[in-house]
Amino acid sequence: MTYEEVIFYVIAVPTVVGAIGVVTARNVVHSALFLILSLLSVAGIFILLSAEFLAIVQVLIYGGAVTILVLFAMMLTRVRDLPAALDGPQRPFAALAAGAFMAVSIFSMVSTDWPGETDKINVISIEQIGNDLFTTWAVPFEVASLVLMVALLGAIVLARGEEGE
Amino acid sequence: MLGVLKAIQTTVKAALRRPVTVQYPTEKKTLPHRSRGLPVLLWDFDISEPFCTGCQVCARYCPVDCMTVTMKDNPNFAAGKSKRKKIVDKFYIDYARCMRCDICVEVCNFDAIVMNNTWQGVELSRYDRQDLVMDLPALLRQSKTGELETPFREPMGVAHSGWAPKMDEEEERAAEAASLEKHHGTSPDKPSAPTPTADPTAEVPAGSQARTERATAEAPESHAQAGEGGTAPSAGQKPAEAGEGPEKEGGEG
Amino acid sequence: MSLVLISHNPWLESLARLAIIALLVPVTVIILTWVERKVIGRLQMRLGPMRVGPYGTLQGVADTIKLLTKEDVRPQTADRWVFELAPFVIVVPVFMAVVAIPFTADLFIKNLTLGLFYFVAVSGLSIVGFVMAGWGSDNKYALLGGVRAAAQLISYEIPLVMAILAVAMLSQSLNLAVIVGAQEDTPNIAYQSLAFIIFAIAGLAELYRQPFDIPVAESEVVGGPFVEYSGIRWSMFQLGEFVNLVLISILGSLIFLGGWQWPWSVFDASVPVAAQVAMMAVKTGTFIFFFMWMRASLPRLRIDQMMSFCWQLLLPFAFLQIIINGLVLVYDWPNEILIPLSGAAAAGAVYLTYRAARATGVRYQPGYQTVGSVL
Repeated sequence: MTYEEVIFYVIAVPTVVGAIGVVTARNVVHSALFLILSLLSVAGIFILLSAEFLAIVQVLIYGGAVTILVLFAMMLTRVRDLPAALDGPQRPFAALAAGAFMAVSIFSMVSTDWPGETDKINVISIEQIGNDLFTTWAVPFEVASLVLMVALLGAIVLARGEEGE
Repeated sequence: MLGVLKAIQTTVKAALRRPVTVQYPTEKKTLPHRSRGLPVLLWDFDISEPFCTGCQVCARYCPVDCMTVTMKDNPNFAAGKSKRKKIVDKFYIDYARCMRCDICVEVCNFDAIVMNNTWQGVELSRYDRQDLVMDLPALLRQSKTGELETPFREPMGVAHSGWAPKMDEEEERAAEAASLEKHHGTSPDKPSAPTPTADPTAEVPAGSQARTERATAEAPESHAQAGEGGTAPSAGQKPAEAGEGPEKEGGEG
Repeated sequence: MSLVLISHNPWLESLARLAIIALLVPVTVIILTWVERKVIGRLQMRLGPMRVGPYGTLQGVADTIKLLTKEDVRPQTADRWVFELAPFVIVVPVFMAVVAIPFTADLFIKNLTLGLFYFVAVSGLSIVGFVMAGWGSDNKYALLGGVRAAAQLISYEIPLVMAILAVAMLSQSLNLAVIVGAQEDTPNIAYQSLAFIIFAIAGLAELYRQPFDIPVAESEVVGGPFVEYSGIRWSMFQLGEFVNLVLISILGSLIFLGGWQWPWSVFDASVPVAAQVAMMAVKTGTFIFFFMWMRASLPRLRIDQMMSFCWQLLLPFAFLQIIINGLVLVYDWPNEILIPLSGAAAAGAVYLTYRAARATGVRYQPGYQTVGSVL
């Protein structure tokens, strides 16, 4: 095994453990913390692939912001009632959907013709990412920000509506 | 917003001044002259004996019963050196009980007790509560060694405490003379009359004894002596006081 | 460029460098705790610690020994793993951030191309630790403190990042060494005075020190997320706080005060190592002193003041700075034009704060909150 492989497995174990923890933990806050573990380990894998920018964005957005908001929401709601609320009569349907998704994923993974050998990973500089993002992909980028903006405004409207009552 | 600037200015000003903190045990601030520590007794350097005659007036006025006093015949009087017929034999003050009210100083007829205005009157840390019961040598040590340089006292009680109209020197002397005159005239006839300047001890000896015994109960190791001493002098107390009072005042006049 | 410490083997070398920070950082923190108590003492006409060692210099050592030997108490109802891991989740990102921060041109662990970005991302992770500590303690004060910490740190991270981004725009790089190198003649504080003010305030808030100690306010939430912690775990929180203080100070001196280059580089392009270290020490010390000074001077903000100050004042002005920078870059104006522009914007921000503080001081009504009520 090369160094890269050793490091890959060292990072992959927490990724998988975290992912399993998310779905198996009975406590919702624990689930969220496992999610953070999993997402940060994914950032590690990105670094291993020399995608440093992506890794840092992963840490910044998922580790720093999104999961905090998830935690926030869960801590401020009634966490103890949540397991009961999640455990409903839809359980078999959920299992069916999850199983179907997993089957499709495995099928596509197996059927894809992966290139056995990769070229030397060419490190893409941040300047290039910036240029691509704001020229070639400017429209998707702006649409994404528009969606976020709408979400933000919606949240403000909801919050202010409650305040006014 | 301007408050922020003001706050910043304040801290800068404070930083430029000398710190107010002193390194306490090694470096001590001078206490105000009138600061009120714990009561100590004064030493009469002229005769080499305490001013205290053991009259127990302080012990009886003490609101917290922290004092125990006994009296004995003064050997110096027999030798002709002193004018005090009686002198203090044993004196205990439980510093743990004292509340520094200054009443003992105000009622003392002989200016024998003062509130300590040095740091010694403030530092009270002991490992054992019993160590806070001071005996006669301990109470006199500060005065004897000269550590208590200029003790502050209010000789005439409230008249000098600041809220009574202040008299100038002439008036003061006149008032004193009048008081002495009055006392001198009345004391031979009615020795037990409770006049404020001369004879507060002459109230009820039985009460005094009871109080003394109650006070001694707090300090068990002194109980035996105080018990026998407390009974004996209180029997002979009234005549002694009655005889002593005029004599002392006559000397002053 | 960089010094080789022990070996050319990259594994041994990186291990040695990590060992050095693992040793050096706690020592710095121990010294800083003493310095802080001394400085604040003097600012309040006290002496500060004087007993342990000459002038109390060993106070930090004594405190460390005390904290390390203290019993590590865990509440019975606490969520065990969340409670016990929370201090690590706070400390590890802080130490990870140390890796990317160079002290001088040669003294650093690893100079990353995306150093600034990495620093921002990693230091944001600490917030998870606060939330974990607050939630895991099973204590209402801790939970309140944790939520407050998350709200405050996330909010102030945005103007902080925007201020940093403004500098990055000007230097056209996220590499800290390049940013410092670009300030040979004029430090960024001249071009980016508005960003600097925002950075200083938001940095103060990120450190949750007075006047922004809302998450840990003693008189409101009795220590916030740390209320149930004791001994070594509590000292880890303290360690994280002080390392962060140093990091923000070093970062501020690197990106705004010209780092190890200015002002020496104005006269002589090659700055000797000793001068680099000295200049960085002075600049970092100035920042640290500023943070301590603010701590001694200002009372705690109210939580709604803190939030509206961030969202209604700092953030719009941080964007304003970025827009100004963008205009200058797009139209290729000379950099000097940034000095009056940014200065005027900074003056405007200060004036608006002044007006808002005066207005709210006169007619503040509880519960009365509209967008712009602070402005």
